[in-house]
Amino acid sequence: MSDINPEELKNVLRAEMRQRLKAELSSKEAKASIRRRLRPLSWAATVLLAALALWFFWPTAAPDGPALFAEHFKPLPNALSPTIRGQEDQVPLDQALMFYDGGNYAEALQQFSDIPEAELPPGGLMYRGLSYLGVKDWNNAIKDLARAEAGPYQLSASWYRALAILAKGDIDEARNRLKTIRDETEHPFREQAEELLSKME
Amino acid sequence: MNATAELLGAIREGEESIIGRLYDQHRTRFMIWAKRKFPLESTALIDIYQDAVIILYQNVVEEKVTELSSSLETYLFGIAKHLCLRELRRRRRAISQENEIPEVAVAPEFLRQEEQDHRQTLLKEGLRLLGENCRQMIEYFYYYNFSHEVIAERMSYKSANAVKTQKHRCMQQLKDLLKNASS
Repeated sequence: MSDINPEELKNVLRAEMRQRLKAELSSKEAKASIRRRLRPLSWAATVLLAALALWFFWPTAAPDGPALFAEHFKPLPNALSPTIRGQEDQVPLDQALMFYDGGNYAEALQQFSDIPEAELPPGGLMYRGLSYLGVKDWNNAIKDLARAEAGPYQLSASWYRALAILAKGDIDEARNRLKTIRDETEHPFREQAEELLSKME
Repeated sequence: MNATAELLGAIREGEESIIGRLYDQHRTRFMIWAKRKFPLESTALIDIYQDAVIILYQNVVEEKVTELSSSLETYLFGIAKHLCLRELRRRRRAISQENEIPEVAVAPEFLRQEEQDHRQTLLKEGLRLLGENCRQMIEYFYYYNFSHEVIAERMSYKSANAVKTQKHRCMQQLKDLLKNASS
């Protein structure tokens, strides 16, 4: 085989090129096939990562303090004095409690303001605090209820104080106080505290 | 110049990398079309598609196709259709011949084919031993039909004469390799 037939050489070059291109396309196909097979996995991984990221970084929805307050606030019935309307000789405390009973907390507070602080009995302090709650004056409510908590209205005042703190938006503080109430087996607002805590989770 | 003409031009220019683009461009549509048309499994269709793309490429290089009256895709699918039918015929034949006694090839023809195969194997091996530079030059000249001037430009030779001299050396080297292998 001394001479090389150009046509034969061309055939060999053609076959060689064919082999080379086939190898290139097969390798391309194999890579694409791996990518196609991995695609569902990569999607799943992306979704999983996104879910994890959401779980980690999504701000935990804080309980809506004012809404929970509105849901759970029931005015403490007036146990200090019976409401006898129209009496001329009513003292300011009676008048304040009369307005309190009628749900007119602003007017009740007006009447409470006529009573000198030193003359305000513990019950008066308690109902003034509740009246403040009625007009959504959380700071004054908390102040009065804190003082009431030191007296004979300790248990009721602790519940309403916790509600006032919750309404003010101090969620952690309210939660702690509600937990204390819940854990006191004899507390008259134990069940309410438990229910409210479950809504705050 | 439209996209098809540009693509054909690039193939004729020896831009081998274009084949990957060509392959990707029509693969999805081919698989959808072929799966509807032919009772062949995906692996066989992929194999056929690869062959069709290579045939198209080589037909353009060898100037069996210079311009297309239809779209490139129609031409490509036409080749693939022919290959699918050939594959189906081959499978049918294989089934029908399963129980038959295979025919023995007629001796002279068989020997001629064997001799030709042997020569081609030697040539292939010779080209491999030549080294990349000589192989590329021979491919450009004998397969792509590039002129010496074009080869000089592509392979950074000073002149067409330099290419001629180098090509002559390469061919001589190839002949020697074949002579040694035959002896």
